[in-house]
Amino acid sequence: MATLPIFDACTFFGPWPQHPADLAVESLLQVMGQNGIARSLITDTTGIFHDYRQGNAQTLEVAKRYQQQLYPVATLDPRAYPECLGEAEARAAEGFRLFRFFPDRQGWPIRYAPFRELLQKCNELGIPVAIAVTQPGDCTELADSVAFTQAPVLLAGVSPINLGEALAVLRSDVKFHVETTHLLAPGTLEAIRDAVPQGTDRLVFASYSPLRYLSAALGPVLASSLSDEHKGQILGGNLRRLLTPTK
Amino acid sequence: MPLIDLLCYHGVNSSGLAVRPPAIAQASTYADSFTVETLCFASGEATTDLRGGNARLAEALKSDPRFRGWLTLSIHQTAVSHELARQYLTRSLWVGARFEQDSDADAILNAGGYELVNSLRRYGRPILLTVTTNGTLQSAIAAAREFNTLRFIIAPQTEALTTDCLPAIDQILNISLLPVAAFAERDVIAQAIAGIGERRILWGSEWGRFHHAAALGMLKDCAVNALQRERFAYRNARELLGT
Repeated sequence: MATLPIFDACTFFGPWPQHPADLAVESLLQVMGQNGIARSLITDTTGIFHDYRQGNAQTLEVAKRYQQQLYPVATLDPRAYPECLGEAEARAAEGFRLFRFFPDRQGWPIRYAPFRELLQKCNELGIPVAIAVTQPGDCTELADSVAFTQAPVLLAGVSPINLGEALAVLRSDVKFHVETTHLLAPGTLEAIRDAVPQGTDRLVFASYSPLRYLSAALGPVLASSLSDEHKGQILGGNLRRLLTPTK
Repeated sequence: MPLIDLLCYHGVNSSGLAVRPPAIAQASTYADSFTVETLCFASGEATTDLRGGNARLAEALKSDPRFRGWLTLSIHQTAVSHELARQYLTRSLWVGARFEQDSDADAILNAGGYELVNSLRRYGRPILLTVTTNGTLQSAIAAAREFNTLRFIIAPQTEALTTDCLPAIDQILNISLLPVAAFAERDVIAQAIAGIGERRILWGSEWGRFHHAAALGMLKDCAVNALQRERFAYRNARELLGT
């Protein structure tokens, strides 16, 4: 495969309350180096579990420290409405170019008025969003919530149990993209290539490293029967395109 | 390094219907490519149709001398399960019995499970249990305590259960852990070896259900030494299979 740089759309640093995971920035950088990852999009887990504003500030600080390798991704929490709208504007002004949402971790439903308004705000700002859609029905609810937006939407946490639903949503609008992390059923990437218009343009590599084994996420992409060109798109080209400002 | 893949799937998996499963012939290709000496298959269909699913798996196992099978049984169909156990578990082709604990209602010691597991003692084969809830984990532990001459293998089906089970099974020496790469956070392998010992960890790719590259990636990235890696990915299974 041509040695295009690999970009990882989702990595973490910070505490992980559910078990003593090693999410030190240094561990992430080491794993990146071992696996040839050129750049990782990073989010502070403090923002997921405790205070999104504190998490975003720490994310920015860490990304500035390791500018050549890490790119900051903010997390927004719609439970902190209406302040979260101002946080979205402030972080966009600071240069964040992707916002991530964790309804599954934070216990709020996709069909949620503050979230709908926050999605509108992100759309006005021209910022792509990544949303965890782990359960059947989540993708559908999300698609309804963003029916009138144009900014790219990255489906995170799609697994074999809700892949069919995700395919239907991907086919409904080109703004939808999907992270590869949990697309682990054999033949999934090929199925997306074949069943979805511009399918290989819509896949984005994400490892959740160092929370998860990076090679467990990278392996299925490299071992797929997709062309080298398509693999290159999935491993970096598509993400770089999503992060290019449109406004 | 040779491998023994202790858990593969044959046929359609009802939790992943959006893609068709690979043909069994592709398992042989996988085994050739990665020096997999033995592949142990479970039938996805058998969780719905015990007789038909296990019978079709038995037929598929003939296609490659490296293939062996897990006999799927059910606590809700004890008569059929007894019959199938008599039919299959006397043959070396079958590794042991497998129970899908999809919910607390399927917990191994519920319904006819106690009597069924008791009857399986005569075959002396390991019992593989999927663990999907804390209830099914506790039931697996209780079964292992009660039937302490049998070897139990648990395959947790969520990230939380994969890490939470380690302290729970620490002192239950006849339980081994088979972590599933799709649900394994880093570095559960190293934690498991440190916690319950390298002889109680097993490796399986869930080929057929998940891409084998994920499990191979977990094998590559886990922070253990070469001897430990060989033990949990090969030697433990070899001892389990009696080869």
